[in-house]
Amino acid sequence: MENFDIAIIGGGHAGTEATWIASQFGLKVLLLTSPDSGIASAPCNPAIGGVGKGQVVRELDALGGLMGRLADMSGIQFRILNESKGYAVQSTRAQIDKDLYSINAEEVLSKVTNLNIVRDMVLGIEKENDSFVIKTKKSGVFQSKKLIVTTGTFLNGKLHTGEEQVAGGRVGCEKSVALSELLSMVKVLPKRFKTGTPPRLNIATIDFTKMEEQASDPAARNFHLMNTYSNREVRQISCYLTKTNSDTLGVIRQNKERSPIFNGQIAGVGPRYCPSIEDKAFRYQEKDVHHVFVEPEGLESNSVYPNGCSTSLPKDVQETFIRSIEGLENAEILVHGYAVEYDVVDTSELSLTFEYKNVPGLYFAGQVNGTSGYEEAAGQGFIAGSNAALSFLGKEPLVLDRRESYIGVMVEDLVSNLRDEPYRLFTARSENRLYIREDNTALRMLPYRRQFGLNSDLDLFLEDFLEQYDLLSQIIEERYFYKTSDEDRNYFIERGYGPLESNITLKELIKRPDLDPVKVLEFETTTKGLRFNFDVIRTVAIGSKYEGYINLKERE
Amino acid sequence: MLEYADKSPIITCSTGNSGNTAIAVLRLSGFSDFGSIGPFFSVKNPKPRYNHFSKLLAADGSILDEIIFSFYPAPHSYTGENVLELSVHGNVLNVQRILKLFCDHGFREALPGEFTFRALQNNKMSLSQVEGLDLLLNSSSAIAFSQGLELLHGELHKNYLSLYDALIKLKAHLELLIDFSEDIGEEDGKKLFIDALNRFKKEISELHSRVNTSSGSLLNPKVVLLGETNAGKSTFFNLLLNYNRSIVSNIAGTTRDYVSEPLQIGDTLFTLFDTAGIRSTSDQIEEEGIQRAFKIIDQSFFRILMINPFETTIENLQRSLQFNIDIVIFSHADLPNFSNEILKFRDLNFTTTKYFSYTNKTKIMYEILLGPIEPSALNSGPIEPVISKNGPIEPEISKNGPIGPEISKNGPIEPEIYKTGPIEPEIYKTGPIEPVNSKNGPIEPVNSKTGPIEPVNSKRGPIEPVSFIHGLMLDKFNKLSANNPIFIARHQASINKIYGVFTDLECNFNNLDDAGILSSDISRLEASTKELVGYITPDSVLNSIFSNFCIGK
Repeated sequence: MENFDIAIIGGGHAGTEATWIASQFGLKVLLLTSPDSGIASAPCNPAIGGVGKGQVVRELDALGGLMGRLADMSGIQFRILNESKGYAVQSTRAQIDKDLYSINAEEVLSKVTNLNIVRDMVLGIEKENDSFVIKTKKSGVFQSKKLIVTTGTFLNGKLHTGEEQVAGGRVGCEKSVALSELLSMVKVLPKRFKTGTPPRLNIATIDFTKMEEQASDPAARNFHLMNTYSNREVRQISCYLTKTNSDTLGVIRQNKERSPIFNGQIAGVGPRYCPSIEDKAFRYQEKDVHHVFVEPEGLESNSVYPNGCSTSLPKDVQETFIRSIEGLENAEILVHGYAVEYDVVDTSELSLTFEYKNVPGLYFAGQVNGTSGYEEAAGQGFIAGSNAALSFLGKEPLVLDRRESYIGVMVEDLVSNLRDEPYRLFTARSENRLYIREDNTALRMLPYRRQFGLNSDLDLFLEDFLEQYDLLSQIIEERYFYKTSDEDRNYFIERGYGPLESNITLKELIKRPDLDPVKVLEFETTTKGLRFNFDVIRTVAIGSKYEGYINLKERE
Repeated sequence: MLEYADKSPIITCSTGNSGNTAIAVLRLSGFSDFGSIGPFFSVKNPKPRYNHFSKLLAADGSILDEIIFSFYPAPHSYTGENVLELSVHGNVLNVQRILKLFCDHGFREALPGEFTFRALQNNKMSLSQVEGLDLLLNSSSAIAFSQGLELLHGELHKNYLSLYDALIKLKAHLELLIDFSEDIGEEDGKKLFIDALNRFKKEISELHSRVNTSSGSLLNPKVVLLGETNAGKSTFFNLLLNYNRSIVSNIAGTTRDYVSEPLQIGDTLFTLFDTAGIRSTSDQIEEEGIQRAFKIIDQSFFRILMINPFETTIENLQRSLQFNIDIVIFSHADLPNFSNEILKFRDLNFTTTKYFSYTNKTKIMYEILLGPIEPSALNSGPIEPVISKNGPIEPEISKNGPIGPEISKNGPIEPEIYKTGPIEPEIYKTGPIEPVNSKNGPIEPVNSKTGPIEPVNSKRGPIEPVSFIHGLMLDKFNKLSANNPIFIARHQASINKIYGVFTDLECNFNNLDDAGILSSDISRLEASTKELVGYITPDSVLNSIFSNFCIGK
C-alpha cells in the first residue's frame, strides 16, 4: 500500500487545480482520475472565462493556478465581454480547443515529479486513524493523509435523453458509486441537481454563410499575467451567431410530454440562469427567438457546440428542432444532448477551506459541491488543494476575503447558504464589483500568494508588479498641469483633455468622466519616457477612475 | 431598545391609571400557557378568543374581583404571544392590586410600546403599521388619523412595497445587462432596463410629490401669532379663542414665554400659540423667550404677524421677516393718522400675504391695500365686499385680485405695471374704496349702530375676524393636505433621500456607458428603499418610534 500526503479523486477542472497547487509545496501527491476521459476535459461548452468567470481565471492565475495558462495555450478565439459598459464589468472569455486543453493539462502535470497520476475507478474510501484508505478497481489500495474529492457529476449520476436513462456521470464514461457508499459519514443534499448539454453537430454539415460571424478580438488580453499582452499561441478562428424561430420552439412545445424535465422523469433541479431550450420554450411562451452561438470545439475537431440548445428531449425531437434553425437545416448530430442528475454535498458542512467539518483531512471541491462552470470548479479546487497542503504543513489556511475576490465570494456563499439550484458566479454576487475587477488581480492576489511562502518566477513577477504600481500611483499624484502655463493649456487643447482652469494632477486628469483613463495614462507615461508594464498602467488608471465610488461603498 | 430585550411576561393597564373608571382593561402577554396563570381564575380551560365571566383569585384563593376575560393563544394574538385581556372593575386601587398580583408571580409591568414592539418582533405588524398606529393614537387632525389607519391597514406600505419591487426590477435588469447580455441580447436588455428605470421614476416621483416640507407641521397643526412686543398679539389671541387667556396689558413684553391653547375647527384640532414679543433685547430671559418663539414659529403651518404701526418700523420687523407670513394685521386702526402710519410698510414684500387693519374697540378687520398690487385691481373700480350673508368670508379674492388669464395671454405682466405707474398712487388716486356695506350691513352685531371705523385705504367692507381667520387657517390646512401628504418624518426623510439618489443616478446615466457606476448608485437606492420599507431599521429608528407610545399598546 503506497502512502501519499495528499490524494485527489477526479481529474476535472477542480481536481487539476487542486493537484497542481498541492504539488507546488513539494508534497507527495496522488491524482486518481477516470480511465475514460482526459485530464481537465471540457464536457460542456468549449470556453473558459466570461462575465465574472474571467475574473476568477485571472485571480487563479495570479495566485499561481493553472487555468489561465492552459486557456492561453489552447485559446482559439478571445473576446472582451461588456466592453461598452465600463471597465468595472468587463471580462475576458476564450473559446478553447478542447483536445488541446486536455493535452496541455496532461503535459504540465506530467512534468511534476512529486505527482503520481493513476487512471482507475475508485471503489471505496475508508478513514483509518488519521489517514484515508482508497480502494481502486485495478490498481490496488492507496493511503493518504489528506483527501480531496472532486468527482463532478459522477456521484450517483444518471443521464437522460428522452425516455432513455443510463447510469453515469458523463456520456461515454463509466458510472461511479453513490457518495454515501464511498463515504458514509458525508451528508448529501436531499435534492439532487441537474445540468444539461446540447447536441454536438458535424461542422461539415453547417451553413455558416447564413450566420453572423464573431471574430477573435486581437485586443483581448491573454489570461496569464506573465504572457505577452495579446499574442496568441495558436491559430484564431471565429464563432457564429444564429437564432431560433417559431418552428424551433413549436416542435419543442408539441413534445412537452416527451421531455424528461416536464414529464417528471427528472426530479433534479437545474440552474435557472442556464436554461435548457425546453425551459425557454415553456417558461417564455411568447418568445420564439433566442440566440444560438455556434462554437467550434477545436481547430481540428469536426464537432460544433450550439450554445443555447441544451436539451434532454428524445433524439428525433432534437434532430427536428436543430434543423429548423437557420444555417443548421442539414446539420448532422454527432452526439445527442442529454441531462445529468447527480448527488451534491451539503456544503454547509464545509469550512471556508472546503474541509468537511466532521471529517478532518477530507475536502470537497467543484461540481460535487453543487456549482456549475469550469471556472467555479477550478477556483474551488485551488482553495481545497492549497489548504490541504497548508494544513499538512501546519501553516495558516488560505481564506480569500469576499471583498477582495470572486473566489472569496463563491467560497463564502457556498459554505454559508443552502442552495436549491446549481451555483454560478455572477458579478452581481459581489458587493464590491467596482474593486474586484479583471485588471487588478495581481494587486488583489499578491498578499494571498505571499502566504504560500513559495519563490517562483510568478512571485518575483508579482513583487515587481507591486513596486511599479506603487511608483506609478505616486507619480500620478505628483505630476501637475498648471493653469498659468501656456504650454500646459495648449497641450490640453491639443490632446482634447478639456479645459485647464485650475492646477490639476495627472490623477485628476485621469478621473475626468469623458476621458478613457487607460488611454490617457498610457499616453502620458510613454511620451514622458516612463516604461511601465501595461497591466500596471491599466490597474493604476482604472483604479483611479473608480476610487471615489469604492470609497463611497466602504463608508456605507 | 435594549430594555425590550427581556422576554419575560408583561402586564399593563391598557386603559390608563389616571382615575377611577367603570371598567379597566388589563393586558397580559408572553406567559408560557394558560395553565401557568390558571390558579388565578375560577374558569379553567377557557375557549380561545371567547369571553369568559370568571372570578379572579388571589394566591391564597380569596376572591379579588369578578371579571370578564378572553384568552388569545399564540400566535393568533396582537403580540403573537399568548395574550390575556381582562376587563376588571376600574377602581384605581383594584387595578393596582391586580397588577401587583401578577407582578408577584413572574410578570412585570410593560414598558411603553412594548406590546407593539413584540408584535413587530413576531412579524405581526410591519414597521410602517407600527408607525401608523402611532399616528392613529397621537394625531390631532382627521387627515393624519386617516393616514394612521391607512398605514395600519398596510395601504401606504403597499405603495412602498411596490417601490421596492420597482427597485428590485431595476437592479435585476441592470444585472441582466451585465451578466447575461449575450443571452437576452443587448438591445432587448437595454429596453428592459429603461422600462424598469421609468417605472421606478414614476413611483418615486409620486411618493415624492406627497412629501412636502410643511406636511410634518400638519400632524399637530400649529397656528402662531408673532410680532413685536405690545403689537396686540395677546388681545388677538384671546379674540380668536373667545376668552381671556393671555395676560393683557399695555406694558410691552408681558408675554415673556409663549402660551398655547387648543382650538378645534371642524374635525381638526389646531394649537394656537401666542409668542413672546420679538425685538432686539439685551435681557437674557427675554431673548430666551424670543428663541423659543422662533422655534414655535418655525414649526407652525399658519403665521399671523401683528404690527402696531405707531411703534414699529420695517427695520424693527427684520427678525420676524425671515418667516413666511400668511397674514399681516395692523392693530390700533382706530387711532388717528393710522392710514398715514401704515404707509411706511409699503415695502414689505410678502408675495402671498394679505394685509388687514384691526381695532380692538370694534373687533372688526378691514382688508387694506399696501405695497405691490396687481394691475387689474387698479382698473376694477370699487370692489364689492365679499361679505356673505351667512358667516365667514371666503379667503378668495381671486375674482378681482390675482392676475387672470387675460393678462397671461397678453404676455408678460411687467409692462402693464409700468404703464399704470408706481404703486403708491393707488391709495391716493383711487381714494378710499367705498364698501357697499350699506346693503348688507356689517355682519358683527357689535357696534352695528355706530358703524365700524373704516380706514381710508380699506379694500372692502368690514370683516369679522374670528370666523374669517378660522376660515383662512382651515383653507390652508385643507390645501396642504389635499395631495394626501405623508406625515411620518422618517418616511419623508427616506423618500427625499431616495429621490435625491435617483436624481443623481439619472444625471450619471449616460446611455449605460458605465454599468459599474450605475450599479453602485442603484445599491445606494436599495439601501434607502429598504430603510423606507423597514427591512433594515437602525435601532435609533425603532427607539424614536417606540418612544411615542403610551403604555398598553
